[in-house]
Amino acid sequence: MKAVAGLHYSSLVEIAGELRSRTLSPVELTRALLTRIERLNPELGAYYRVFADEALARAREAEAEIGRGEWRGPLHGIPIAFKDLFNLGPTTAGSPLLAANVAGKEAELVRRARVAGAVIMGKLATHEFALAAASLADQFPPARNPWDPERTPGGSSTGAGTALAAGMAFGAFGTDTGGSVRLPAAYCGIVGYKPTFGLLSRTGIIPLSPSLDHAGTVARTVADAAALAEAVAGHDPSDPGSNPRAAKVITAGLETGLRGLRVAVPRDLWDEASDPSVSEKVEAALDRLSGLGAEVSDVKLGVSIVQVMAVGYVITLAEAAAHHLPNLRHRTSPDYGREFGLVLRAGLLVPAHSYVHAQNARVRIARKAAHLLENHDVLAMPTVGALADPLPPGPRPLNRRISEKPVPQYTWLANLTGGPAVSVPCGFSGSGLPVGLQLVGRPLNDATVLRAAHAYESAAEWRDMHPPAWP
Amino acid sequence: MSGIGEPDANEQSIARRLEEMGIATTPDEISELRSAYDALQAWLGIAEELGGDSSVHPDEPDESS
Repeated sequence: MKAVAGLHYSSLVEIAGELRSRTLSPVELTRALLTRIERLNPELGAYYRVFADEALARAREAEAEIGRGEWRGPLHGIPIAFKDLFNLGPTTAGSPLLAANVAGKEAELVRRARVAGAVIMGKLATHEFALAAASLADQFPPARNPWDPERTPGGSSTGAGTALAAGMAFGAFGTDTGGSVRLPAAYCGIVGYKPTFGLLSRTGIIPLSPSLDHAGTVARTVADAAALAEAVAGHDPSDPGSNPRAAKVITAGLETGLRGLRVAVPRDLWDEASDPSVSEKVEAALDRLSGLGAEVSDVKLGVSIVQVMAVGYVITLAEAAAHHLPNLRHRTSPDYGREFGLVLRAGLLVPAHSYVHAQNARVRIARKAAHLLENHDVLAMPTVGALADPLPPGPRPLNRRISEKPVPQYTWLANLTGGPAVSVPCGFSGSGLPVGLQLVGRPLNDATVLRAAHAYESAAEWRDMHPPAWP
Repeated sequence: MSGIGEPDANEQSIARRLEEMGIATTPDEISELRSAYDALQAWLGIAEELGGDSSVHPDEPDESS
């Protein structure tokens, strides 16, 4: 058996190969990771809960099964974790309101991960109900960015970003309504994949905005992110958004490279709003894509990032407020955190006709993106046009969230279109903070986006860089 | 325009609308909602500008193409 020391930054796919060939023990691997989590979590706050005994029990089962030649697939014996928005044991959504909540039936993706043989290590930190920014004053301590623990790892899948960047899991499942797996990926120097709407089941995930909510994966490599999704993908009749036409196989062709791939760069969406330290790295990544054989060309989307985000937020605020209205009417103690309670009240101030306008606008924006993707394979842009912020000392003021000049989160576009999107690391700012490149594709064309991201990642040097404070 | 020390008209309107929906809201929450209200109105304006045209339909030709 191979020694497990120093494997915490290995890729899931590499580890899966070692487990399958029985050169690595799932029990030893799980035990080593539990030791690392025990050491790092008090400082980094990635996990709300760690299921140490259960994880070791599942690892023992996996070891016995693999030993009998009953390998189930790439997740078999692999330590992974779930955002605390998935129904699985104690499930808080990062909210004082649900601090004592224990889920009954487990989320469908949890069930499928168990069937795939995954070793579930615990529940990962989240922004409250996947929206309100975590602060230092919260009841649940915020996850911290391993590249600078005074800063946010990005959200709302905060713990997933922290855990993968610090080698505390080999993969994680999160949720993404406006960018919540891709933003932590960009801020933490890892990979976030939001599949096509309907590819991954949302049954048993606490909703934020059902018409925009997606499940997604967070990993250290594109191949890992794809493998996680592929292991649990497939139609779920109990999720009204689930798409029976969504392809289950998304990793095929991952290695086929970039030659001839048509990459469109919608300059009007991102050029002016983005922080220069981000734009500089994204420009270099575009040059690299071109050098690898992609045909990179500038295009116009015809909408600004403020328009895209306004439409996304109007839909999100209204749907979240509708979902939480019964709780708001019976204000209790414990209550929602301050920022989330205010966001919900703001959502109640969205008139019905404005919600309809926003849904119509979403169709129009999606049509503009679809038009560009008739003649191009992917759209390329920054994931977010800013670097990770310092963690706020207390609840952020509402006018930071609802602003005429929001932090430009280019992730919202793919939530409006429903198409696949991947954030992949593309460098570091002068201050040493990671920057993400986002690739967005046509709905149901996940394989192409993953192929492009994988080709860039393989040619770039970023995937082997890890936070120096957590060797 | 409200007088000095009196609630702003928009604050009163916000408080009334939430109260009509049965939502308890403290004065400082109303004040914070007011601080974001103009931006929220701007977002609603953007939604109307892009989606207020009733001709939006899946078969509609895209004017940007």
